[in-house]
Amino acid sequence: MVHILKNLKKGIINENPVFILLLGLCPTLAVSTSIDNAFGMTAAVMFVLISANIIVSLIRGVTPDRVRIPVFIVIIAALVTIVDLTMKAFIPELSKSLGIFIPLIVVNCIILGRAEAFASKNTLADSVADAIGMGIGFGVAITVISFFRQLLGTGEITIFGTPVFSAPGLFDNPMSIFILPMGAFLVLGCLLATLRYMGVIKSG
Amino acid sequence: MSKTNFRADIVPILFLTVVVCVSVIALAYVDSITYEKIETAKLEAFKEKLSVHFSDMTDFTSNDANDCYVVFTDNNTIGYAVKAVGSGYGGTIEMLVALEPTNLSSTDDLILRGLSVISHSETPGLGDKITQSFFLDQFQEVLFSGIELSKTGGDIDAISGATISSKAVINGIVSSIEDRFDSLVELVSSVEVS
Repeated sequence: MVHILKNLKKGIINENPVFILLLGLCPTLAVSTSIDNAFGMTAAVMFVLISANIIVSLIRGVTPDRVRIPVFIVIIAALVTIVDLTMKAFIPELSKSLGIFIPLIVVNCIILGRAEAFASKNTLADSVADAIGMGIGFGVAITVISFFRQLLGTGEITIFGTPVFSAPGLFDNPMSIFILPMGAFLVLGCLLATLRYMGVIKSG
Repeated sequence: MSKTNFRADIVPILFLTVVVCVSVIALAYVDSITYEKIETAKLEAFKEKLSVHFSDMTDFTSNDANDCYVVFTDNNTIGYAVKAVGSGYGGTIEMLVALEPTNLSSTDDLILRGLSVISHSETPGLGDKITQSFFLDQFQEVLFSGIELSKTGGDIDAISGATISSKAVINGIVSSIEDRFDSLVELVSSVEVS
């Protein structure tokens, strides 16, 4: 039990995939333009991560070592395609705004990384805990980045299309640079620097 | 020459094959239940885009290439639409040009009913103003020959700071309509016959 809690917690804080391991930066930087996108991306990544970890952990005893990477990739690609098709069928709006980044989850290092480094060597329960922890860690990171980018770049925060907060001065004169790709790097850089300053990231 | 070792050489191949087969079956199943929903969602989304310009439309028909449309209200033709593509600053701009149901003897007689942008990747804050109504409204009730920037004698004012995007919209409309005019005429005559 202690094990499971530890595995769950490490993905959120000590080994946060985005802030500490700096994995999966491509979708993190690209789709973090609004909180809605962040939620959609998190849901997709979470589903693929948990399912991939479950399957990889279940077949870890029988997977021949020489073909393990192709096997993982096939499993992940199939899961991602399932997510992509389901999203297109039931929430076309979200699927449109996430665009190419859903298919690109196939090559997201967080998922292959967890399958290879964790799920292929650990029990089912531990792997699920690891996936949930990593998924939440990714979700927290991308949501925080999206929050700053949307707030500074458009002047208002919308959740599921409904505006919940609008900054008076910013709304009329938003700093559009934060919505542009460059803004993603600025926000991520500042967040990493802050986390390091606060001692969450240990140097060296 | 080493002998083929079943465990080391054949098993990995068989295992990977089995994994791929299982994945394919799973995907085929998901596709079979989502295919129709995806197609209807696409059709609905497109119908909504057309109805922006033809508020009383009840149905539409398209050609095989899916770039020309005839819009109906209870079997009466109320207008045409053509998909237009321009190359903008950040990539392709896909647009829908709505046309009045004029006589289709030449492109000169065409009158634009309106314009909407289906997809684009122009710079947010500058080029993406092509999706705002102050720009798009200029394309309502304009002769096809007037689709040109006002500084070169046309009816359309460019967006300041986004000349390339504005030009891309205009060039896209003009070239696409010229290219697809014949297919539009063909579609319209085939509709009238049936």
